[in-house]
Amino acid sequence: MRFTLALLVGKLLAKLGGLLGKATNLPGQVALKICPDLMARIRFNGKVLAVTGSNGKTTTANLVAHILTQNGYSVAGNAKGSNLTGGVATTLLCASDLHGRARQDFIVLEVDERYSRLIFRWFSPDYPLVTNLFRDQLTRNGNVDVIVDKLHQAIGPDVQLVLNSCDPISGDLAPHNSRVYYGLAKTPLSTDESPNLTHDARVCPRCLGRMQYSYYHYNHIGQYRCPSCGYQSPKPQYLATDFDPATGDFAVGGQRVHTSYPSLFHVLNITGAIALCCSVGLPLDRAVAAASTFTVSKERLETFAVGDRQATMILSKNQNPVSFDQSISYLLERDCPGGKTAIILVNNINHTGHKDTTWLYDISFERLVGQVEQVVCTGPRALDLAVRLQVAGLRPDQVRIQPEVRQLAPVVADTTGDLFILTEIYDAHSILEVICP
Amino acid sequence: MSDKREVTLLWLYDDLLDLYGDRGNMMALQYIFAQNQINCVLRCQSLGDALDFDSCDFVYMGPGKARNLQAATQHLRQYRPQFMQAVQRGVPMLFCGGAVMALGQSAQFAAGRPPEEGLGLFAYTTADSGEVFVSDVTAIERFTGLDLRTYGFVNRTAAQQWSAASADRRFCQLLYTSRPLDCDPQADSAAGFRTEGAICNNLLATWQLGPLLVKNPGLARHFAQLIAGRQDLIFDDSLWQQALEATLREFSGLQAI
Repeated sequence: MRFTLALLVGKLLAKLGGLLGKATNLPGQVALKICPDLMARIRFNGKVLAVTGSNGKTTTANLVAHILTQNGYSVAGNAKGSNLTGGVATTLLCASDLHGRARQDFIVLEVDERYSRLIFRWFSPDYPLVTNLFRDQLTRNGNVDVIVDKLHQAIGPDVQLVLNSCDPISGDLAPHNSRVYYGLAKTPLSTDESPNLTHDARVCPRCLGRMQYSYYHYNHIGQYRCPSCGYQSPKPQYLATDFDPATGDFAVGGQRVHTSYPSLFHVLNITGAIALCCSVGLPLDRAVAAASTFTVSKERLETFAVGDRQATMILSKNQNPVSFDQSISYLLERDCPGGKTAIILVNNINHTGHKDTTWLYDISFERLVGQVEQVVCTGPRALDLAVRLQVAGLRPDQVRIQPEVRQLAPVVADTTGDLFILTEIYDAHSILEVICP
Repeated sequence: MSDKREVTLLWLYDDLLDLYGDRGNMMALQYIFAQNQINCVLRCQSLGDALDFDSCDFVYMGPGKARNLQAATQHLRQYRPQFMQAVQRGVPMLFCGGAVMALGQSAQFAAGRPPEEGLGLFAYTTADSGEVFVSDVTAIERFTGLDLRTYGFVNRTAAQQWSAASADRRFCQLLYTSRPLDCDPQADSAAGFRTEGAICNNLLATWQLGPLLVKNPGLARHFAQLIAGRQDLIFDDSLWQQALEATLREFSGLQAI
């Protein structure tokens, strides 16, 4: 009775919220108040696929849903990235009928890594994919070991994991579970030394011995080996090879894949999604063909015109240096004959309001030296960002400071080249209102 | 006055204890020394290395995961005599965040585990409670002799208990935290202030983590002067000061703890 009432109320709220554009969390939260074990009571006709990890969850989950949908399967999921308990509950109750049965072929869930144990105590995904694990929002998540512990509590003994062979941390999760690995072979963009300051696996996650890397793709993602205990990159069943950054082409199992977002980070996301879809029975050629038609959400990466200048907005996560490093990589890899200006908005810590900007010292701003004409610092922590850029080696005449986002327009007008707006997801709207009113 | 043309910064356990913007402290010093044409060498030593405090001008140790902190403390303990001699010689040192645990009488790195012996430099014990405490911190520091106002950030799961008999110098008098940091019998509760951190000669230990020296140019300048052995270093810290003062202004209306 409570279950049915919770489904009814949740569905009603989701319908109403859909009209108001606020349908992702609240319906599930209310339904869970009525029936706390709602998620355990839902019956699935198909398979439940989950995507978790520090970075790339939303894109990878959307990729998986895209590949399966393109291949004629019915899919439900939290495409907007509402990945906490309320959001997942909303997704499940909306996917199910009034008897609590989800009839889709697949449920594809993006799940916050910190909340995974709270969500998966009610149901177990058939195939969890873990994209990677990095330092991420330390005030909220704690360090990487804390997240590993939480994931171990979330992963049931019988599930088959889909893991990134290039990540020594997430690649070593739940060693007794069966697993499928995906990875990326050395590319023209791979380096002998990590190109980034943030490196969470300098030591072996098993024995604390100093790790050796044959090459890096980014941060601590690459091919590794621990001389002390022998832990090393596992052999991936799905390996991306022959990546061409100029064309966005690469191959998985000999099948050609194309992406319009040719970054190493995204190639790994695509390969992970292909690995997951093939693990549930999709033939490789069909997975690859569908993956090649995927475009990254405009909510994460959007290009538009500002007057006669091209602007690209690249969103990253608050307090997540690796995510920000990826935004910088995107900027660096673009060819702009007229030069580049970066506009960077740094806010306080979004969920607590703390003024700390420690995480800026984990981002490799040094890579901007000699690569941009100007950097415009804005937002509540603009001055702290300017200090960071000074320490990184940018010249004082290159760095413009305007903490008030609303007064940004004349400062931006005084810069040159294509614009690259690097900010956090929650601040995108405020800056867009000013840059292109 | 010294005319050092080269200084060596020793980052202890850089591979284990690099949790949260720690490199910013080295960047701050490297920046200042570059302005002064002083070659700045960054040396990193970790587990398995023979720690050498004799040939360095500065020692840094930062926060890390509990398992890593434990391994680092066990390793550092093997070099306790050399470390203590370096502290007594006045080698400048900065211990941030959880690294503070290594310097106490004992440290319990995880709830339920037995405490481990620390280096015993200071008269406190620490224990990881698992309870997360996160706070902005403003304070008046007692390290430089200038009583500078500082900003820092604490993010920790450990608690610290000072011995009532402790005569150790405290790093700062707190002006703002979201709640009191530690039980410190030395603090003058009647005067309404509490303390944080500890000082021994030129060693500063504080729970405030991350790039403390960039956030607080007065501390950066003081450390750089100690390291170089001279007072006349060129350091245009106007932008750093502007950033610090802007941050401190945001706390000006808040009630002292």
